[in-house]
Formats: sequence, structure tokens, C-alpha cells
Amino acid sequence: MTRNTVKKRQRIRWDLLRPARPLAMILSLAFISAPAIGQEKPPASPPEEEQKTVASTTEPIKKPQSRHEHWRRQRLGKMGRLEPYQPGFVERNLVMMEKSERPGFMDLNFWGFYPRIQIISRGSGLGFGTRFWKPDIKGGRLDVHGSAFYSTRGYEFYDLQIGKIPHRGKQLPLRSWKGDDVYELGDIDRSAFSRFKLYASFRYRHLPQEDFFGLGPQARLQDHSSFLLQDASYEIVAGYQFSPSMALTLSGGLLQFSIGRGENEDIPTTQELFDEPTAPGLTRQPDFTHFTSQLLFDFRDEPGNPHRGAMFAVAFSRFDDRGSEEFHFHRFAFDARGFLPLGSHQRVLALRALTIVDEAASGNRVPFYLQESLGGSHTFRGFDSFRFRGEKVILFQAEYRWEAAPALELVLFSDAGTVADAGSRLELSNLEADYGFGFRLKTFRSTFFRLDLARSREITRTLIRFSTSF
Amino acid sequence: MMKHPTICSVMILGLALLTGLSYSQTTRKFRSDDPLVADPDRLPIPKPEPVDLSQIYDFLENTFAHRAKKDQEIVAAENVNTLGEVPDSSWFTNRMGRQVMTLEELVRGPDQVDGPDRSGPWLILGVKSEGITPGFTIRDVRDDIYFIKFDPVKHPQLTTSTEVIATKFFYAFGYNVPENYLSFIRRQDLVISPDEGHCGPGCEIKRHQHRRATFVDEEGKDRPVTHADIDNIFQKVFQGTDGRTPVIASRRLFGAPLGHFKYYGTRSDDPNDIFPHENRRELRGLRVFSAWLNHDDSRSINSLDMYVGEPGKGYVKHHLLDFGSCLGSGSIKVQSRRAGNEYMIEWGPTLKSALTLGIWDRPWRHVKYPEYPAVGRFEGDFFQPHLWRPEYPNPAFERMQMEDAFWAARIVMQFSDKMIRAVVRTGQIVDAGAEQYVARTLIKRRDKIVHYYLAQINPLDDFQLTGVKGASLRLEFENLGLKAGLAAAGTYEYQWFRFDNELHSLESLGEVSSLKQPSFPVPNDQAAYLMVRIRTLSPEQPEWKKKVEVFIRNNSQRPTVVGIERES
Repeated sequence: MTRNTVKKRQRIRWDLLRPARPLAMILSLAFISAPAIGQEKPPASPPEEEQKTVASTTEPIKKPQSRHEHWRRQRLGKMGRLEPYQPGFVERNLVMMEKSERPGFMDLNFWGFYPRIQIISRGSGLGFGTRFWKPDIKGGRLDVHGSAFYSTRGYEFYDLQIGKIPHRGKQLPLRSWKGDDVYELGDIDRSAFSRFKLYASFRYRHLPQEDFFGLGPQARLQDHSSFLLQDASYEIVAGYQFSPSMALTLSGGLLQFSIGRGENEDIPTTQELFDEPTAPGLTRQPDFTHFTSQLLFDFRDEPGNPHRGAMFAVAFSRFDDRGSEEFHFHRFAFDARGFLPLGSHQRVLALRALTIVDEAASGNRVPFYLQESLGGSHTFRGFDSFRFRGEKVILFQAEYRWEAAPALELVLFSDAGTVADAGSRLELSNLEADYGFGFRLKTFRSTFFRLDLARSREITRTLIRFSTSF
Repeated sequence: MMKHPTICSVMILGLALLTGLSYSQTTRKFRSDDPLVADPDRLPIPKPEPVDLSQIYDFLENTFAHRAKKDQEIVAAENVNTLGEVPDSSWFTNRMGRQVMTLEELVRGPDQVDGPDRSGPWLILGVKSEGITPGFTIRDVRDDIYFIKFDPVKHPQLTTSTEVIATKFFYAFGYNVPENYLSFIRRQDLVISPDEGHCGPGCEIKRHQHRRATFVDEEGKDRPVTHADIDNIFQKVFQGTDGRTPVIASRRLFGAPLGHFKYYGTRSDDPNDIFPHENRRELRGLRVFSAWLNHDDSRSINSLDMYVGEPGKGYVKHHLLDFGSCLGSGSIKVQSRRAGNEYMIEWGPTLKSALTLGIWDRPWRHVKYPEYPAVGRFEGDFFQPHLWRPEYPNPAFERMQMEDAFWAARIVMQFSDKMIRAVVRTGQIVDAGAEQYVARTLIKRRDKIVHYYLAQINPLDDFQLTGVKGASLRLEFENLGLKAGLAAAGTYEYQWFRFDNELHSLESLGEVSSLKQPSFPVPNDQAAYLMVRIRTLSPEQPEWKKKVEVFIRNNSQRPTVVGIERES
């Protein structure tokens, strides 16, 4: 297209417009007399009184001379477009929750049954099930708690407690998942209303893919095997909280075990790789009576989210097998945790030392399935669960925690520890170690999400958990 | 000779439209009633439906959706008059902003009575055991209804004194607030049935009509209140050694509650609500007031709309309430260190801390606070007005512009030391040292606000015309910056113009002149509107060079200042 052509097309033929001038003038005048676009709209649907006023006049609507009238007309205009506030789905449900028309997510229950997703045991995968909770029956003297879970890897967990269970208000009682924690120390509910606890407890577990690598520090990764553990416990638990920083718990009862072939098809069964001398208790599992006493001293500022202070726990247990003289032993455990702020509340050095020592009676041994172990999300994070088992266990953990935001904690950590087999000593010069990086979401009171990336000489693991490391 | 009549018609129509549009855009800058003193936003409307807002949703929405920054352009405040002031409305009443209040007015605040009647028992109508603060709803023997709140166990007077003090201030600023009274009760003063004690005039009827208060327990079940529930609440709150428990008695607002307002958009069911809330100057400027008083809880959930008037003839009145999280109080505990310094979730400091392995530490963590249980965490040395933050982003606060801040700072400036001390005394803090500390800190924070915001804009104000038109007419004003001691002196450059109110065009009336005194002769000109453009020259305050344009309506024998525009 040439420049001349463009000019031609752009040029207006005013001569052609001449006959239409009167029309243009009329149109212009009509438009000028109309209200300005976007500024003084006539009311879309004025209220009744206004409609009468508007309808009764034949005069054109004039531009408002005053600001008062200008704003008034905007309001009258809105009068015809009124609609109630419509919250979206999320907001509507949040409102109902906040107004207690619907319980909070964690309080959602059906006649006392609380749906939950939890870890049953180390390596169990996610467990789906429900907890049952009926507190303060008969004027607060009786509480009933129970649970039933089934995991993605076929693990089962059932328990029931009846009596005076430590709890706060209607909240579900804290619990320790024996098998996930190394030892049930440090889990006393300091915020419970009642200082005294006394309850009967029953528990049954079906753990079809428990890992076993052998006993002692020399256990090899290639000896990874699996066994089925079924256990039941019948206990009486009593305790008293002397002060917010001191509590004593006593428990005793009957323990039953059954060992079978593991269901993990990717690895051999424990029975294929091990025998009674290398895995005591593999062929015969007697019942045990046991008694445990544990004393807790807790000086942490906030047990679930400590920034300063310390905690010491000591426990003594005795296990007596029934019907044989093979597996009598007692256990001593000591767990110390310290939390040191590094110049700021934001930076904390968290340290832990744990030792557990089993002493079998003369000529007796400790069944392999009752020996403590290292490996998993709370102890040796860079190793497989149950990687090291032994009659003696020692563990050191250090975490440098810093709060990038009040609800977000980042962590650099390292674990070191070892185990010792029967008759051996713990060799502190030969500790296994791992290290890693963690990311935690937490409230003022507790950690509710944890993602740890850990590395050891053997593997690199990503751990997702819903509780703190220690 | 019309070869293309259709094309011609379209062109004519287009031309007409263009003409019309261009004309419509030349709306008069100043209308006949400018500057408007009161916004006519109380047109009778049908009662809107109450709105329930979720505080969690409000937090999520404003933190992550970030309503405030969705629109790219931030417009100037829309509900102001041509002087840049906020007209009286259902939201705001000029009190300290229009004239200096007396000490008596300040101390009285919104109070209409002398608090709940203590000559008889208080009948419990409702119990709130959980939430931020436990409390009761009661009816006194005068039949007035109050909401009762307490102090935290370890911090006597922290919440109660704070609530009273902050209420007086927010009332003086101009907001609609409830009447909050400091009172004292004994456990035995509370009854759950009229049968338990004297219940005032018409007692028999009341007994007949009374429905026992219910209570939502921890299981979320609604059941009748028992004395054990009341005892339980008393165990969670501070009780005086003489058995008298200090409480805040908040008198029920007049009208029917309609729920909270949001800090953006308008109520779709209220025709009077035409200005987006984020563009209301009093809500933008609330950031400055909140910073002064450390009201970090300034969010939707702490507001309340009430329908005032007969059904069908009333209007919506907008209130601020719940000032328990002000000064050094965090309602149920002392204020957190983060309060006022960082949003609950703020990415900048989080990344900084994450990337430096926590070596970079937030400076506010190291601020020292005095050990006054009745004060909590409140200080004035670390405080920086422009860096102050509420709990999470507030759309109106985010849109605050310098003109909005100047408007608010000007009100803050009106509070003398004596006034501040008088208001703080209404908190009846027993510890004299604590009371003096609160007053000193407020004075320090006031000075910081005034010094900061008056240094960002040309702070000329209080424009008045003196003398007679045609002879000695002068424009006089005050430099608030000089008054606040921000500079020793200033020189004023000015230039006069004729102003065309229809076309918004200017015509110079002379060269730029300068004077040392804040008083200029007004040119003897017959133009309907005059405008003077002023810049203040001060080596200490470079921002004062920003222009202030003052418009004068000159078409009568008594010219008036009709408009002020500030460069920000």
C-alpha cells in the first residue's frame, strides 16, 4: 500500500457530509444533554418513592450540580443491584467450623470415633483407622480410649484403655507408639488436668514386615530379612505427676509374642537367614511378665516445641519369661535432651543422648524381637528402620534448629550411635553416623509436620512424619 | 451527492459520540456544595442479611491472595471532600480531626452511662469459654446488656486497661466504637437465673421470659450454663486479692448486628456503601492510628456493622471493636515480639533467615521491654511508623498513600502530652510507673509518626482567607512541619492561576514569588476560581518542595477555600 493511498483513505470527504450536518447537530445535542457515561448514571432501579418521583416527571434527568446529589444518585443506582454476600465453599465451611456448628478438623468425630491417619510402626506405611475416646464418664472418674488401624503394608493395631487416663479437657490423650519411638520416655502430658493416672491397657499388633538385619554393630545390609511379629499386652498403668517438671509412672502386666515368616516378598524371611543362636527367640516365644518404673524430669520451656531447658528420663524394667529359664532380663534406660538457645530464641542447638542396656540373667538371653534398635525417623535417620539391634544401645543426636519464620523451622542434624551384642561392650570409637537437613512446620506448642532428608554411608532417605524428632 | 450515505451516518454518529464523551469528561471539578462536610450515606435501606466472615479465610485470603495488590493501579482515596478531608459518615465522625477536643470529651470518649449497674447481680445470658478471650454476656438491673472480658492470670490490668485506653483514642480519632467500661465484679455478683437475686424493675416478667443461658462446651454441644462453667472461667482469669475481679464491660451496640466488614470492596447488600473500603481514607489512615497504638489486630473480624433505625428506614453503621490487642497487650497474654514488626507469614525475612542458616536474626527479637505486668510489650525506641505491620496484610493499609497518612498524622498531632496522659489515666493502672511508661511511650511514638509523615509531603495546612476581597484579601496557612519542629524555617514559593472549573484549565496570573511568612496576598481578579501553587523550600526537608495547590472559590464577596491538592 502506497503512502498516497493511505492518505486518500484517511482523508474525510467533508463535501459528502454537508447534507447530514443538521442530523449531526441534533445527535450531538441529544448526546450532550444525556447524563455523562460512567459518572452520573441514572438510578438503575430506584426505590419505590424514587420510582414515583422519576415516573411522574417528564423532564430529562439533569446532571447533578452538587456532590451530595452526585453521591446520592450513585447510591440509588446501587439500590437496584443489591444482593446478599455469598461466601465461597471454603469460606462457608470455615465459618461453620469457627462458629462450632462444625467441629474443627482434628475434633471431627462420630459418636466418639475419630478418623485418623497415623504411622503404626516403623516401616508400616500410613495407617488408616479410628480412635475412640469417651472421657470423663461417671463424673470424670472413668475414661475410655481405644483405637483400630490398618496400614498400607498390612500392619494392624488395636488397643483399649479404661480408667483414669491423662488428658486435657475433651482432647484426645497423648500416646506413644511403641515401636516408633525408641523408648516411651518423655511422653507424659504435662498439661493434663489430673495429676493421677490409673488405667488398664490392652494392645494387639500384627506387624507382618518387620525388618531384621542381625544383631550387633556388624549386622550387614545384605542380610536384610523380614519377619512377622504379633504381640499382645495386658497392663496396668499408674502414675503421679508431682510437679510440672516431675512425674513417675509404673506399669506392669503380661506380654505375649508370636514370630512368623515375614511377608515382604522382596527380601528373604528372617527364618531363612538366621537361626536361634543368631536370633534368640526365633523358634520359641514365651509369654513375659514385666514391670517398668520410669521417672521423668522435664525442664523444657515448651515440651512439644522446646527452645530452652532440658529433660531427663530414667527407666528400669524387668522381663521374666513364663515357662522357661531362657529369657529373664532387666533393662535400664536413660534419655537426656538439652535445648540451648544460641544467642537468640530463633536459633536452638538441640542435643540428645540415649542409652539402653539390657542385662540378661546368667545363662539367659534377650529375645531379638525385644532388643532395642537404631534406625528410623527418630534415631538413625540415615539408616533403614531397625538397622542396628543389640542388647546395648547408645545414641547421640544433635540438631541445629533455626526458625526462618515462627511456624517454619529448618534443621541441620547429625546422628551417631552404635549397638553391642550380648557380652560385648559399646565401642564409642566406632560409631555409625548420618547427617541431614530438615524442614518442620509447627505451632507454638508442637511440630505437626516434619520432612527430613538424611544421608549415611549406606543410603539417603526422605522421611515425612507428623511429630518432632526428639 | 451522497455516494455513501451509510458510511456518512456512522461517521456522524461517531463524531457525535466523541463530542459527547469529551464533554462528559469535563465534569465540574468543584460542585456547588464543595467541600462536603457530611457524606449522605444514611439513605433508608431495607435491613441487609447478617454476614458471617471467617477469620481463617480472612487471614488466608489477605496473606496469599493478597487482595491489596491485585489491581495494579492504586487510586487516590475516593470518599474525601475537595479539601482532602473525610466527611462525617456512617463510618466516621470528625472529632479530633475537625477541632481539638477538650480533656473532658477525650476522657469521656464514647461513654453514655457510667458502666453496668452494680447495685444488683448481673444475669448471665451467654458464656464464651474458649476463643481468644473467655467472657460472659450479662444483663444488669437497668436491662443494659454488656459483654464481659477479663485480664490474663499473670497480667492484672493488661487487657482491661488497654481496652479502655485504646477505645478512647479510637473514638477521638473519629471511628464508631463501643462503650467499654472498666468495672469490678465478684464471683457472687453473677447469677444464671433471675431467681437467684434482685433483677430490677419488671422482675416477674423477666423471670417468666428468661431463658437460661446456654453454653457451647468443648464437644461443641449447646447446653445450659452451670455455676461450674462460671467457676471454670474464673479459674482461667486474673482475680484481685480482695475478691474483686477487674473486667471490661463492653456495652452492646445500638441496632441489629450485621456482621463484620471487609477491608476491600463494598457490601453488596448496602446501597449506601459505594466506595470500595480499600479506597476509604479513614480505613487507609487507620494504619497510622493502629501503628501508634500498636493495634496489630486491626482486621475484619474486629469490626461490626449494625443496622440502625426502624426496619426499612435504617442504615448500616460501621464500627471498630475489640481493642484488647493494642499497646503491649495481646488480649490473653502479653503482645508477641513479632506484633507490629512482621506479618504472621512474610517471605522476605523468612528467605533471609533460611538462606543464612539463621545467622541473620530479626532485629525485633532483641528489643528490650520494661518489666511491667500491666503493660506487656510496648515500646517507642525501636518503633518505625512506616514499617509497622498488622498481623497480616490489610488491603486498605496496603493502599495507604502519603495523602492518607498525612491526614491521619495530622490528627495524631492534635494529641498533646497532657491529653495523652489524661487518656492513659482512664485505664486506672494501679502501678504509677507503668502508667507513666505507657504515656511516655505513646508520646514518643506520636512524635515519630508526626516527624516521619510530615517529612514526606509538603505539610501546609489550615488554609484560611482573611481580609476583604478586592483590597486586602490574603491566604494564610500553617506549616505543620515547623510546628512539629522538623525545621527551623521555610521559604514559600507560590504562583497564582485562574482556574476554569469546567475545562480544568489554568491560566497564570504572574510569575513565581516567594515569601518567608505563611501569608500571601490574593490577586484582585474576577475569575470564578483561583488557584495558588505553593512549594516550601527548606534545606532540612527536601520533600517539602512538593507542591500544594489551593483552590479558592472567588465568585462571591466572601471567597472561600474550596479545594486542596497535594503532590505526594
